[in-house]
Order: sequence, then structure tokens, then C-alpha cells
Amino acid sequence: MVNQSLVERLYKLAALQYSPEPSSAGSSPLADFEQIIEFFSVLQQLPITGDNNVPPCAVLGDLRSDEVVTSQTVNAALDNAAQSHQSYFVVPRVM
Amino acid sequence: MQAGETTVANVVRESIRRIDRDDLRLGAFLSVWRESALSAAQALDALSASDRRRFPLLGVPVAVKDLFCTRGERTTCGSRLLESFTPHYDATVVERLVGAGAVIVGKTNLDEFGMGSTGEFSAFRATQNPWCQNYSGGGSSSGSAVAVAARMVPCAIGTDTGGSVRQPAAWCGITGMKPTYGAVSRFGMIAFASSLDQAGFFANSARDIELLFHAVAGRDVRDMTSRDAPPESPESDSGRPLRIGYCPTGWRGNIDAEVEHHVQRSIEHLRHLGHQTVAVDLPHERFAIAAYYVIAMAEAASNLARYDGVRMTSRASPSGHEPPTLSEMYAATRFQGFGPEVRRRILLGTFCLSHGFHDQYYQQACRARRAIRDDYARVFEDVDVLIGPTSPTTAVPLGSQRDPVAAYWGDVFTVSANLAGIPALSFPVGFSAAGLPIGAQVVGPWWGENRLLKLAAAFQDTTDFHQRKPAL
Repeated sequence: MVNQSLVERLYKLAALQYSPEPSSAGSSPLADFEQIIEFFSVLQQLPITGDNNVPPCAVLGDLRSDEVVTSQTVNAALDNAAQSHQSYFVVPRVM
Repeated sequence: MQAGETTVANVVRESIRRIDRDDLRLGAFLSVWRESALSAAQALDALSASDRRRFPLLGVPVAVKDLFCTRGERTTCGSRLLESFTPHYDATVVERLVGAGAVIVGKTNLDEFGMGSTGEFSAFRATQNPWCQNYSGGGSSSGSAVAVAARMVPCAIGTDTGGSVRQPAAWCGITGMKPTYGAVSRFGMIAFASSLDQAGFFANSARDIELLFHAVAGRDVRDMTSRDAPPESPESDSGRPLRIGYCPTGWRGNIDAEVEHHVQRSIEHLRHLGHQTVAVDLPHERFAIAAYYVIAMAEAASNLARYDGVRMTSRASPSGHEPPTLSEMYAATRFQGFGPEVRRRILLGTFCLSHGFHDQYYQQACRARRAIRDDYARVFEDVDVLIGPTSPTTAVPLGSQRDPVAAYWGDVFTVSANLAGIPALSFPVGFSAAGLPIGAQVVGPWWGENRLLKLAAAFQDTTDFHQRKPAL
């Protein structure tokens, strides 16, 4: 199930540059994956009861009104940007 | 300070003096707010006596985990990616602490984005346990726990997603509490796993935690999962004996002998105080650690997708390819900015949510979570609280936990409270032969914080483990 091709695909889905470097334990990314997925496999022993609805972990409080209010100014939003120009975030070309 | 016997400025100066003396070695703080803390202290000292009485935490120096947004001050999450990120707003917890008169003296070290149990995954430096050099203070709220244990501050704020307040509290010999999910606002608390994250509290006693908790708890319109405690909350029980449940089958073979010995002694002590103990069964507990990590990693993969080198983080240039495309920039920024444990969790979370594996892992984890929650609901119809070890071991040497799965097992006793959304509190119950602290954990029903605090306070009124200090 877990193979090199899957690991490389997951790096792409996660928007991470693929690196074959070993972990601090000296194991490859693939070996790490296999070990941890094996750790998850106990979940397969839980019987499925047919009810797939999972209740929310908390009851929501009263929802606030749906109104437009000022949150951040444009300058504040750009303040932490890696690169900006006038009122725009600057990014590399898409293609 | 309320009585005018000393000034807030004196107390804050003493806190900063201790930080300057000890923190170079311990690594608890990422930033110390010398000027603003003293300025706030002087403003509080200028108040009239009647005005001072309005502030329940008047002048108390508090350290805040560097996962909470603080206006105008760096908030790094222990990550290179956010090394220079400066929020334009305060987290609600921060606002309410300051509103109660507390003085924030600095931001504390942590495992990157709250992911870790030893404090070693901070991008900046590891935090040392003040009880034993070159030992971990726990994690992920490593700095907050160490700052309190080393008496740099009397209390601190952390976050607890799977035990990140309770486990460092146990390893550092202090008291730590994770409240009911929704009891404290998560606004401004940078998200790791949104259905599990909760702000938590560190102090040297349960009574001090009670003061902190009541100063910040309550509904916040900016966090719609937050609520006021319902009127039907379990009351503080007015001193009546409690039925305390314990689950011995969950311990067997899983914990150090010394930890088991001291936790058993604490249970005997509680019996001596008049409480009744009852063995209980939590049949789905064996799924908890796997369910927790699947859900936490899945939510982390989603939450951390926002860090892309565009809006709020530093940006990397992929090597050997100019100019890069947008996707190349994303991949390089995230790879270089996140540490190895964060990258591992993002990848595994992506796996658990991806086509072909979602039902087998994520859906199963959600089913397990529901079963665990139902187990607790059933058990709390019979008992008032549950007790057990906080951590299966005492603090470990820095650099000793290289196997990720072995490290994940260290959370085996804490994750269930996060899965179910129930409150849990760790308090010191003894020391190992090597002088390392040992903590026991009490877990309560939803909105049962007062019950946990009163029980821990009763234990601490009749023991002195919480009063012992490391030699610094």
C-alpha cells in the first residue's frame, strides 16, 4: 500500500518539496510512513456500526450577526507579507 | 500588591531578574518584554487602592506560550516560517489576562506549532527541565511549564491539543489544567488541530489555576465554539466525598514502576481524605492514541496549508531554478520553513484525508472518537472524576526520543480528554529515585473544572509535593 510513488504524491499534495533524507532516527521517509501507518492500523479493529454521523465536539454558542465590519486594514494585511507592492501581495508566476 | 505591601514594579522586576539569571541555561523564553512589562507595572502601581481591587490578577507576572497572538510583538509558534510574524491583534486569552491586571513578561518556547512532547522541536532551541540538566521539560508547552517550575513566573498559559499542558506539568512538578473544549476562547490561538486545541494553565497550585481560569474563561463572539459554563455544570460539590474512578487495565504494562507506585499512593491518600475509589472500564480506550494522531494530523495538514510564503511567512527560493513558479515557491518555502516533525505530520494528515484512505483512517478515527466520548458519558453517570497517571514515564533525556511512534505513545493517558472535550488536570504526587517529578491526572465530566480544582486543592492542602522547588 505505502510505496515510494505514494510518498512522492503526498509531498506534492501537501505542497512540500520532496526530500529522501533520512529522519533523525536514521530511517527513510518511506520507512517512517510505514511504521506510523502500522501504528494507525488498530483502528481497523473498531466495528462499523452503520452510523457515520459524528456529533460535533462542542455545541455552538449563539452565532454572531452576519454583518460586514472592518477587521484588518490593507496595510495591516500586507505588513507580514514576504513581498508586496502597493496594495497587492506579490507572488511568482503561476506557470 | 493589593494591600500595598509591595509594588507591581518590584514583583515584575524580580520576575525579570530571575529570567535573566536562569533562562540562558533553561531556554524557557523566546522573547522577554522588559520595557512593556515594567511600563504596565508602573501604570498599575499608579492606580488608587479602590481601582486596584477591580483587578483579580493585579500585577501577577504571566508568561504566554508563543502560539498566542500578541499585538505588535512577534509570535513565532517556535517556527522559522513565522520567525518575524507580528500580529495586529491580541488573542482573547491575552486580552482577558491583561484586563484582569496580569502583566505579561514574555513569550515562551514550544515545540513547533504545538507538535511535540519534549520541547526539542522548537526551531530555536530546546528547553531544559529545571529538575535535571539535559532532561526534557516536556512539550509542547515546554517553556511555559519550565518558567513556572523554575519560579521565573508564578503562572503561565499554554495550549493542550493532546496533553501539551498536562504532560509538561507532570514532568516539571507543577499543576496544569486543560479545560472543557469551548470553556476558553481560541481566538488568536494559532491553530494546530481545531477540534482538539484548548488553552491551558500552569501554576504551582490548583488554587492559583482557579484564579487564572476564571479570569479568562467564558464565551467570546469571535470563537463560536466557546460558551459560558451552563447552569447545570457539575458543582464544586461543597466538600462531599467523591466517587473517583480508575481504569487499572489501561495502566498495566504501559507505565514505569515508579510512576505507578506514586499514582497508587495518591489514590490511597484520596481514600484517606474520605473519597471512594471505584474500578471502571473504558472499552474503547485502546483506540484513543491512534484516533488522536489521525485526527490531529489531518486537521494540522488543513490548518497549516495557509503558510505558503505569501501573506504572513518568510519566503524561500528554490535552489537552482530561477525564476520559480508559484507552486515551486510554495514547496520550497514550506519545506525549508517547517521542521521535520511538522512536515511528517502534514504528510501523514494528507495521507489520512486522501482518496482511497479517508474512510479507512480518518472516518474510522472519527468513529473511535465518538465511541470514546460515549464511554466517558456513561462512566460519568457512575463516578464523579477519573484518576490515573499523566504520563507513562518521568522526564526523558534530551535527544533520547528518536523513534516517532515511541514518542507518540507518551501521550497515551492524555489524548482521550481532548478527543472527548472534557477537562483534565495534572498535579504533582511524588518524585522518582532520580529526583524527577511524577504527576497524576484527574479527568472530569464536561464543565467539571471546579470539581477537579477542588479535589486537587484538597490533595495539595495535605501534601507538599507542589511546594518543592528545583535547585537552580
